[in-house]
Amino acid sequence: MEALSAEPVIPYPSNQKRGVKGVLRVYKKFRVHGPERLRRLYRLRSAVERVNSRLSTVVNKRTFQGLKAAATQVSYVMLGILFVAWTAIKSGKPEKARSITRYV
Amino acid sequence: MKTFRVTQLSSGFERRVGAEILKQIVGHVIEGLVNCGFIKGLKVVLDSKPLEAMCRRDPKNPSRGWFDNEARLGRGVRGLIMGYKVHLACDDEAEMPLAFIVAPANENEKRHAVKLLIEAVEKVKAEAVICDKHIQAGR
Repeated sequence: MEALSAEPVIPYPSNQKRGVKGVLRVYKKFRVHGPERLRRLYRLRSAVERVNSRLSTVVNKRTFQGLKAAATQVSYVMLGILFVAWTAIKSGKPEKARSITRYV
Repeated sequence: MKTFRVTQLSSGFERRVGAEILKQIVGHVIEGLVNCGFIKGLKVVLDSKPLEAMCRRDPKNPSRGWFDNEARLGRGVRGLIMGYKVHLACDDEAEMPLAFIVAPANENEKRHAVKLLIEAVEKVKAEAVICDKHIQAGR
């Protein structure tokens, strides 16, 4: 991770000690306290949660058996998400790129 | 006129194309979105999502699935689940996936984090990576 200049931001639950300064602390309902720079970085993490929720909207509706079948189904969903974004950009409506049902 | 069930069509396609080629197609589409400027890839976010398989535990080995031999017992959102995990790397601004790996649910994120990052960095020039702190832990 050091080779890619990565810095860990999300704290371990056991690392959230009171009285220790300079540490990011996450409380209930994802309220964060700590240095401003780490709080801004933590907010960026919610982007992957939004991608996960789009993934789970479609994936949980089908059944699969085996790792290969699961990987194939996830690939289909990823292709769907990416093609919706592609179509939105090519049709001149980039604000609809993250919409699941716009072009379905 | 002969009609096909959706599962017949998809299983025939899956047998011919396969998961690897589908992943390559995903890679090509991501490159297209990067080239047109929608995905900038300045900040890459890593996380995993549990995928529950529709099977019970094997009575002889409770950490494995009964009808799905590759499913494993792992941590889900609330408690344990039997199934798999999707390890995702996505772009922060565009909220689009850059790379993904599907693995059994008992495998830790740390095992796939570097491979995911390498796959993502092949497509975009990332300036920052945002992920859980335990990925850098030694244990």
